[in-house]
Amino acid sequence: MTTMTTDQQLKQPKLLKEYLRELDRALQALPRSKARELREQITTHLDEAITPEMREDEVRAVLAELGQPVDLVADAAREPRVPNDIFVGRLRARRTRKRRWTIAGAVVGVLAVLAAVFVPLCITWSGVNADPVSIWGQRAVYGVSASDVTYSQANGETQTTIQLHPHTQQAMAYTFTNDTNYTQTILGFDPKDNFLGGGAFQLRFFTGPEIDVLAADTFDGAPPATVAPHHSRTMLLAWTTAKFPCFMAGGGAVLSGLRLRVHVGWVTRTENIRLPGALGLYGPSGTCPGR
Amino acid sequence: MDQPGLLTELRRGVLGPAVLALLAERPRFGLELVRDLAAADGLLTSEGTVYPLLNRLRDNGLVTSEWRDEPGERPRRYYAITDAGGTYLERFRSEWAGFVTTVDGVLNKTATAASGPGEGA
Repeated sequence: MTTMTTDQQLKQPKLLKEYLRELDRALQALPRSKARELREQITTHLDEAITPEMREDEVRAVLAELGQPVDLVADAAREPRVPNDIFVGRLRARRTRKRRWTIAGAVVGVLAVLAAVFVPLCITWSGVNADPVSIWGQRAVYGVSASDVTYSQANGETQTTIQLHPHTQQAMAYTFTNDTNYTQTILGFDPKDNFLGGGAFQLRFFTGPEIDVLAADTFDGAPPATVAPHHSRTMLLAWTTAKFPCFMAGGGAVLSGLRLRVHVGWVTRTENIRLPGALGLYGPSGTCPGR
Repeated sequence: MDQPGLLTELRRGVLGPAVLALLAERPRFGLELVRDLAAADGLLTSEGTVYPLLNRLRDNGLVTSEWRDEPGERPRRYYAITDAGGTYLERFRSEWAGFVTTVDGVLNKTATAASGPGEGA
């Protein structure tokens, strides 16, 4: 730090002393650190600007150009000014906004990364994409004699057509496999399926130690029925013709799949489980009640 | 408004960017900076106002200062512009051009209106 030019070096020390006294008086209005700093700046300025050889008028001119101490202190005490500090304010506001956007961007980025990683994992874990159970075996079970069943080829598949008998309970047994890593629970028919879910059909599951597809009473389990991962089960699709009398008038229907509600992983969904071959149900000729 | 004070506020407004512009060239010590500003006619009302301004610029992070004690020279406090100061200066430059155009436009328009033909008899 510099020191003030000594009185002995100056021809006009009195002027300078007066100026500095006045400055010190004025500086009392400022906080101490600000006052100390401004005094150091002013004295350094004078130290450089005033040379020992200067005449009085020259020293007066330097002091006049520097400004009255009270004005300098008033300027130092002034709050941020317009318009200069408007720009500083704008710059700060812009920085603040930029910082906020940066933080927001970082948060969004982190969330996006987390979402990119965890959403697929969650989807995988949830079982949403798990394959439905697949039926690989079928057989007419009871209430259906060999003469009631005909087979035909359609679109490369074998269609099984069953002759319906009035007021007779009939059934087909289907064996299916859960080839996923998730336990799947069959809850029943899709309630939106007016045909299968209309009350004419039942789902029953084999629960006994041995499967006897010809013994109806071995299928004593009602939905829900759980199928462990990579395990198979056999279920019965049973119906009674009393529920669709118009079929008895020569009508019929063909099922290519079973729309079932299935709970898998975290989700419950409707699975359209394709039959190994279409199932045709046709009634004998007759009169449809009400027609 | 009296004539001496006519441009005082305007000078105050532009003095900061002017100081930053000089410091953007190179770091300067106090008196050097004052003299360079004084050389630009009409920019300084009093040399001493530069120091409070420098302190404000520093408080705002636009300027830094450091003491240098170089051989053959007296120790001096040098002021330098910061990155934030550079950014601020660039923004001021871009806004200043539009500001001047706007003010010119208003002044010229009102001057033309004032000197236009008077009302008919």
